[in-house]
Amino acid sequence: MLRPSAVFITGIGACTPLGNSFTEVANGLLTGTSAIRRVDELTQESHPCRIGGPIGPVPCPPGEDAVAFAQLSRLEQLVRFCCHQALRDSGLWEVRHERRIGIVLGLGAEWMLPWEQAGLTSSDITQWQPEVADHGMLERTRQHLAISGPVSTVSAACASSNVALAQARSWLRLGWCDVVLAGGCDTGVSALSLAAFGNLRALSRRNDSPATASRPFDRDRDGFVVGEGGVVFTLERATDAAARNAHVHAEIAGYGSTSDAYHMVIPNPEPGPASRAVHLALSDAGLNPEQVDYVNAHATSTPVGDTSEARVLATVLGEHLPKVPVSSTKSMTGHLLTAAAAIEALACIAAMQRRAVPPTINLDEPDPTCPLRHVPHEAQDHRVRVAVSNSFGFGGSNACLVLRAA
Amino acid sequence: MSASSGSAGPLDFWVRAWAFRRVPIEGIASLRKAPASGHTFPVSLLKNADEQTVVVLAALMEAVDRLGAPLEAYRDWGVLGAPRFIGRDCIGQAIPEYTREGPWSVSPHIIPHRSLHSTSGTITLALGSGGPNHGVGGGPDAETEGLLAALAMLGERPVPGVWLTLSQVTPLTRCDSSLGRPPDGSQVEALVLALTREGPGLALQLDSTLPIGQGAGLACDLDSVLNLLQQGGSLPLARVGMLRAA
Repeated sequence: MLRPSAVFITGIGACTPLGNSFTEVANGLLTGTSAIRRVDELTQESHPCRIGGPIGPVPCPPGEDAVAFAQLSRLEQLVRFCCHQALRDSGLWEVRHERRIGIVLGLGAEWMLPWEQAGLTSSDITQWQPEVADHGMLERTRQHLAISGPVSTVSAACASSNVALAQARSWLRLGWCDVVLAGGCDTGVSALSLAAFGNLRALSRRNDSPATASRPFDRDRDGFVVGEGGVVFTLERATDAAARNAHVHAEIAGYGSTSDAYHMVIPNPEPGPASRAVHLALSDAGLNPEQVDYVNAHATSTPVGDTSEARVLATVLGEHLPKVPVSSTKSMTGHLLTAAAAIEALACIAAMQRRAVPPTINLDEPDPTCPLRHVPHEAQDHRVRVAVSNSFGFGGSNACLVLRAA
Repeated sequence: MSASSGSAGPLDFWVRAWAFRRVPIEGIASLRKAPASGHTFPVSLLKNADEQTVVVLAALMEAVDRLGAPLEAYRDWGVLGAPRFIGRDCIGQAIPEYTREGPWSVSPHIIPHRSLHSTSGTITLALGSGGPNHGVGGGPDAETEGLLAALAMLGERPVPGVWLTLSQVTPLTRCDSSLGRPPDGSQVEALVLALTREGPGLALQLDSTLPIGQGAGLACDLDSVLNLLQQGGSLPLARVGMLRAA
């Protein structure tokens, strides 16, 4: 029976290093495929980290002017492609003018990345003022798609896409929109991003072995690997989706968010604030910890962060901890930064639909400080009705999403 | 299909307090060390913060003082930061330095302190707040997006209140890549709103049957929101069909 406030995912658009559709990405995740490779495009030799999970050229959506599309920044291409595909996948493309459709995306570097792209290709930095456009990227996308709802860019750093999905759900429940496109896009495999994260000493330096560099929960992990890409979901009220017999991928069942108030970069070693976010999300979904079938961990492959999250999961799941499979798909995709939670929501949906939990590849020797029910190397058959997706970001943001099979 | 097919009717919101600060760029250095009289913060809090974050914290503490409650009273409030073009001058400096000197020249502080999430994250540290925090907008529509995010958070979530911060550098001149900050003569502005679902305060009403969103013509900026507050609250949000004085 439909809950009146339920919100469903009825469409998915994806452009990631593992593929450019839900099916391709799900196949990559469930076969344990690494998308990490050496980044040859860097012009400077001395980058401490020269590996990443980059996307290829972003496909031009069907019906678009390829020349005009090619002139957009890579980030705007991603946004355009993913929104387009999500609307088509939901079956709403042809009737998009008849509904109030909004957009909420996690875009932590909406301005920075195009600034970088413009700045590194400009011969005269003194003339540099690339933000003179009247509107932001999402408003331009809204106008281009000829849809009529509100738009919003949000950023909680690496937790951004969960924030976006929660805000989209709110807009639907409050009646502000009929449909919302929500998720995240990031093109973080860039020179300045790799330099800045590298100088923070946050990145893996396994430059000689890209495919094994991202190894969450492993004893020999040495930092994360930047990935990039975008995933956008079409969200509708359950009643509206049912009324048009829409194909439903999953329900956005719960959300919880807190702040550490501890440090701008380092996660709180005490599990309290992040645990509270997971508790809030489960409570919002009307679920108990024993009803969780799978946890897609934030685990980025940093020494401090993965151990902190293991403590959080032990606090939340308690005696059920040994029964709940936990994996980090960042081992395959790298860390998509502000789009990370979006591709990880996709991973949860893949687990539900394929009845298999994606693995943590490269987990050769689990760190004893992370005593979880790991899924090393290969996917495991498992019925997933309820999935928890954790995301934690700089600025101390903890954002947890609960997805439920429809 | 109409938007009113959702669950909501009109929603009342209250601006419990607000504060505005406009600071010349030359005054940022001293404010960075002591952002608010009567309040002490660790020196490290603002050492690497963006100029907008510095002025936001100064304005926020004025609003806190006006409300009169201890900081613990806001422990579960949400914090939303809606800056415009935060980090622009820092990136403008980093690009030529990267080209000239390589990756080691790029500051590790850009991502934690000069990004869209930075203002709200720093404020939660200052307040010791455990509620949700995130950045919103970031560009020319930051104020509109910030208001939408704040009202959605208040309308849906179990937060007792939301701090919404709007900030910008004016005028937005061409970037001087030698500075890494806005040029002399610039002003940094911050407007902070304490929003709740309960009064007393300036009442605003969101009617979900009215058009919402840029697509329906909603547009506001920091100056227009400030004017609304200074006049006691009916414009410009009523003009664009989103918020009306209740």
